[in-house]
Amino acid sequence: MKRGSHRGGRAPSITEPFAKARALLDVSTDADARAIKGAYRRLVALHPPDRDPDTFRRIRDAYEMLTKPLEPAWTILTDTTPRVTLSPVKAEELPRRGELALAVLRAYAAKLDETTLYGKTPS
Amino acid sequence: MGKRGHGRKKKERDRRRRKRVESGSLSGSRSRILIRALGGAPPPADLTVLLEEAAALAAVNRQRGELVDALELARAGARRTPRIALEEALAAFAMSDDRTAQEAAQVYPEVLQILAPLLNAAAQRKVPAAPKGASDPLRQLYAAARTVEAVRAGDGKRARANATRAKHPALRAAVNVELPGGRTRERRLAFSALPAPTRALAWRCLARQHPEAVLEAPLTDMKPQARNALRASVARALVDTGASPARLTALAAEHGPQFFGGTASAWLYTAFGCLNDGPAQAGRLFDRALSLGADMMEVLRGRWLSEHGEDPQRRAVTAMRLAKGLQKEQDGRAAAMIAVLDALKVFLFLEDGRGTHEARVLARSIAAATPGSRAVLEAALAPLDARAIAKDDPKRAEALADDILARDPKNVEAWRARLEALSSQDRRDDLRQAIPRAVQATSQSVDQLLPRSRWAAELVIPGHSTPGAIVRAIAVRVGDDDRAQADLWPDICAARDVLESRGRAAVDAAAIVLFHCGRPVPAGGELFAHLASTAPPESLRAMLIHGDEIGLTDEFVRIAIELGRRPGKGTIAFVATEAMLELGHGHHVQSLLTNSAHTLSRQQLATLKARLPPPSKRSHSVNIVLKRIHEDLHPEFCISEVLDENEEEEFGGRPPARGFEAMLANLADGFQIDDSDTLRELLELFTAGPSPKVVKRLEKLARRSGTNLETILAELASYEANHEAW
Repeated sequence: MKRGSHRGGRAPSITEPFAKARALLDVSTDADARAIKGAYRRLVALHPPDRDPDTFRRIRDAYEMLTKPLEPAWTILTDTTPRVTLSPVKAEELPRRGELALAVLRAYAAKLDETTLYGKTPS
Repeated sequence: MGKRGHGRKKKERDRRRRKRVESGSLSGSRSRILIRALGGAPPPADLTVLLEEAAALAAVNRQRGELVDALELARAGARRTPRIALEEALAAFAMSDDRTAQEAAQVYPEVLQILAPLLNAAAQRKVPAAPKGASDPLRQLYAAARTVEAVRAGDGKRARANATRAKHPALRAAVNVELPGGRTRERRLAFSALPAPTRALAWRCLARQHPEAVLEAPLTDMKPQARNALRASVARALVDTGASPARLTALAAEHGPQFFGGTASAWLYTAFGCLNDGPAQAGRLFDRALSLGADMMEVLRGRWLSEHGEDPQRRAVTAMRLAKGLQKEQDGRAAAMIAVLDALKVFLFLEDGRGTHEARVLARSIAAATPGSRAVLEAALAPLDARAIAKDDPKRAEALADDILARDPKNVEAWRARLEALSSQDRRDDLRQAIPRAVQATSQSVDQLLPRSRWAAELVIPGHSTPGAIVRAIAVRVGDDDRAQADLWPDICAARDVLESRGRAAVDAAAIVLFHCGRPVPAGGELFAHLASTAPPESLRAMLIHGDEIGLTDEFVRIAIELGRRPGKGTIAFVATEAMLELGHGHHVQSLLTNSAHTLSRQQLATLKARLPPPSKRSHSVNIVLKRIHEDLHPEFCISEVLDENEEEEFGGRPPARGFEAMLANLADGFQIDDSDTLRELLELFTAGPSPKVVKRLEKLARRSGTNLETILAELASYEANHEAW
């Protein structure tokens, strides 16, 4: 089974968060602590916390994930749900929204008392 | 179709026909006549009457749900009048033939006015406002069409408002089923409000919008095939809408892998959902998932999780396999390190030298191959490295541990390494000083810090040792004649004294048993005397009940009487009397009251009086006490094991906590019967406790069984003596 693609509410695979962090900091797999720190500083200079707090937070999280990886790895490894996509289930196409209301409207039309509809100005 | 099918159809036709005849309509025949008359060539000159009749009959058919008949009849009218055209349009619309409905409606503006909202709603066009001067029913029809429009747009508020205006409960029900926000109760009621033909569709809509509601529904009136199809729809909806992995896992565990199609991932989800069912059950599911092609690392991870708290050796092996698999991927090395460290801890606990070495080598290679976080990974490995050499090179291990603790004073593994190093050097005094510091720094118990050390089993640290650890320390010393016990007493007493009352009671009771079992230390009575003077009432009570099990009742009662005479110690006599009452020892109650009544308060005397004569629940009470003690001492110490081991030798064939069963066994020998019914009856009689009625029944039973009545009466004599003493 292929891992790595997001779908539905699935949790990412074991390696995915680390790969993402690496991609965000744009560091290679053999980068040492100094290289990771350098990449982090470069990115923080581009996205300082006062101007771009969300991006800064993501950069900070990615940096911590790469330099202190044991805690996130423990969380991932002890997760009691599978970190793979659940295959799609073969089943009849589900009705679109409004189909039931329309079916009820048709049933309503079938029961209409036509004599009451014309009201004050009968044709 | 077979004969039976034909028969059923005919029966149904006849039933309908009868109904029509009874209602006096005879519409079927009338319809045929009218169709023939309207379609004849040439048509009759004046059709007005016929068309009126046809429209009326078509309306009746339509409202009855016989839409095909209604449409056929209305069509025969060839849209010659607005009314017959309206009938044709309505019947066609009800049958989802919107094209015919459109064609019939647009012949007359007044008919189009009625059909326009319906056709617009069906064609997903905007529904116009109701015309001015429209009747209330027509306004409601427009509101109904606008409800459909709002539902499709997902506008719950507008849909509900229009459904209310339409005054049509089924539409309101449809809104609740189709849109979020409806209450569960409303949705449940919705199904009864919906027209029967729309219910199957409603279930599928519910599966899309509220899958959980479908899962909660019993669906008992649904055919199995339909039920399975609906469940598949629910599963699909859950996967498509991205339900949380935790929810999907729980559902897979609840409904099995087939719920999600029986794929490899479905089996994997089921296995993860069954992690708590034990490694055997989860293992089977993981194996199946793997055979279907599930992700190997996920299978190993799941197996590793399921083995927590089970066989540690197997868990360590799985952790090693997981680590080896994960370390192949650069981004999996941190997780690999976690797995290998877990394996290393288990190997250290098991004192598995080979496993420890292999895990250390793997851990080092992982750390070396992870340049980004090498220092962090090596730091995590260091205390375990120190533990690994604690036996062979304790001085170095201690130095390493001290080094780590200087930087990280709360490091549990470093403390373990230090304590293990001290333990292997037999530096008992240093260990006694280090343990409280370690417990304080790490918030771990002594057992967690030194799990397999015999030192830990003996050391008692006041304020840190659990009741079970204290009892175990006593047990170790009691069984070892070579050591003096005197040096242990101050710590044991201090540790016991700082326990909360329940723990103290458990320690006291267990201590008595242990001293009794651990002969040649004849300290049962002395220990009781020592503990009873300071023990809280519940502890004292537990000791007395437990003392009864090991045959020390006489001695304990004697001590209780002695202690109870002292000023301010009336409670001891009171508690002892209560305990004896509960145990059913009438003569002890009598002697306690005779000797200590003057020390009891009026209230205590009144309480005791109120309890005379008590029902005998001896076996029951002892079991409850034992169970409670067992819970208090678990998991460090198992009192049941001690009792089971010693009952034969130490208790003279009178197993503790099983007085009635023992007596029953003796009696059964006397009876020389193997009749299970008689035995069962005997058991019932004895568990009911002594009473004149029971005595009579026993005598009767003995006569019936033709056994030695003397044996039974001898047993009964003791019962009766107790009974009468009360």
